[in-house]
Amino acid sequence: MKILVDNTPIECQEGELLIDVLINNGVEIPHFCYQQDLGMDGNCRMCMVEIKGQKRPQIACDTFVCENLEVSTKSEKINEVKRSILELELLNHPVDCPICDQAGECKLQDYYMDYGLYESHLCTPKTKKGKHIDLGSNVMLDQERCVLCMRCVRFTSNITKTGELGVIGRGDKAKIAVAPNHPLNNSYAMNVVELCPVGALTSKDFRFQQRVWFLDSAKSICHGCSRGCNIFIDYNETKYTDEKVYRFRARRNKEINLSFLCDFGRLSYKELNEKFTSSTWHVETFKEYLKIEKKVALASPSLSLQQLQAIKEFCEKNSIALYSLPYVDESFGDDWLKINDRSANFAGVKELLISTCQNDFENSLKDANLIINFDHNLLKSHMPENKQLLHFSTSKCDYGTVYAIANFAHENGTLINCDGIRQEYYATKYRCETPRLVELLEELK
Amino acid sequence: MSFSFNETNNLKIELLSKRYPQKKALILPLLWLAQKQEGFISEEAMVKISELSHMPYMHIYSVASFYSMFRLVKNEKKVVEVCRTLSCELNGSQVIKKHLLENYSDKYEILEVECMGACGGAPMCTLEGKYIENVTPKMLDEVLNAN
Repeated sequence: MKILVDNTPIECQEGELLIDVLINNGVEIPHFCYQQDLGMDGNCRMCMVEIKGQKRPQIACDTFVCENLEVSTKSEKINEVKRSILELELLNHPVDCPICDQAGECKLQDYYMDYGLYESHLCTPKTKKGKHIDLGSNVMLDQERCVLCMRCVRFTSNITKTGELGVIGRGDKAKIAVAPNHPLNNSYAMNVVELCPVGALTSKDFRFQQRVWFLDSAKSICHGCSRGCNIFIDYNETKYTDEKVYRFRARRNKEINLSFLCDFGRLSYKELNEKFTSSTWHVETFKEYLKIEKKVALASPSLSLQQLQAIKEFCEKNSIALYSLPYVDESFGDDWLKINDRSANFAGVKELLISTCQNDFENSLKDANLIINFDHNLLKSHMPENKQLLHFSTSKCDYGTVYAIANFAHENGTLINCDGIRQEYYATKYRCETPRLVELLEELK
Repeated sequence: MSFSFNETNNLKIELLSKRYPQKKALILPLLWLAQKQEGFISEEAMVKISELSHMPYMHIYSVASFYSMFRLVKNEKKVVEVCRTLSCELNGSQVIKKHLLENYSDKYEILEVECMGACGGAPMCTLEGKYIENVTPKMLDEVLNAN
């Protein structure tokens, strides 16, 4: 027996339900209430089809096939019916798709995408504006989501004074934009993403990576330079994976960074996610090293006061000469937040009276047999000749024996910034796989 | 391609800049001068105005895009503007507009604009900025075909 569906002949058996024939032959037929193993109920009216010779559309789940039945599933008239049914279904629907667990496999969503009432019932049509416009500096713009609060415009004109953003057009055609050929280009540009109260400005780096309600926040301090900008570390830990940091956000501090961060600092979270392997976990191995005569230690000026204090005590006890050298980058600083001194706690190093003399360090390096590096970048990629090198490190080291230690996301500590402001930072709530430096040194006593 | 104001306009700019306490105030008059000089306002002209008014380029672009009477693209066709405000509307601007759209939209760019302050001569339209008042379809044919 044959029936004709959208002008295509389909083979079927007498007495079969039309909807079964359609489903089994791969013809798209929207339906909510019908289920092949529950049978028909006919309450949702979504599977309406046109049947030649019938005055009104019929539901496919309550129609039995008969010889030469001519069915149309796609006509404009049928689409109009489906559109009305969907409109009715959605009258009292909360439209909370963004937080609904069914999103992505929801028939209501799917069918609405296919047949939805895209033209609003407003008597004037909606103004269409630009979507996913790349403004430059990692910032994406959706002009239709914008509420024209001008926060981003005021940021570029009053704070950075670069003036890349502005409003073009007027009335309901007004939209945020950059001028053609003049993209967003300043080292603080990504602040506009955080300033945007709606979804108009999003970060290329963070968008589509994680829903924010799955993220936890830890109060921390940016370690990018000695300014000590206050941040939130936004992170989470999903099943079977390690904790991952997704972004840094500015944490307001009127004395230091207000509500802003530089783009360099904002993107420096990536270092916290880097995986590297520790050469050894055994404290005993380290105790063997300690038997070597003539030792010198170099501590990173970005370690916290607590860590530096523990290192200092440890070195005094084991008669190790301790030094710390600042990270200076003449090309980094500017006249606002960024500072050439790239160490997070150099003021702390000075407060603890740790030697920072480059010459003294180099002289003791010549005599030393063992160098212990407490996370200083200088020795991570550079190997002094004829020496034993031992690292306590938060990142990959090219040479020497490495003890992996927890990075600052997993530590509580105190830093002193370039203006002498003493600030606390706090660890994320997940336990780090690698030990904390202070605890490790405690064990070595 | 770079833009510079011509000599006459440079003299005007000199006079204008003395008139305002702030350089920022020069933006609108300079946009007008640029449009008169070139027929439209080019990106280069806005860069020049940005230098002269000590304002960021984007600010000039915002201002220029706010006012519908500034043209930011070069017109290939001559522009006819038809007034659609009350006096002209009551005196039959609809007929004029329809006549223009049906017969001249290939050769001319037909724009609807708000009141241009010539209500005494309603209905009115402009051709390349020149006012044509008490306009009738027949008058239009004569003027536009002569051009």
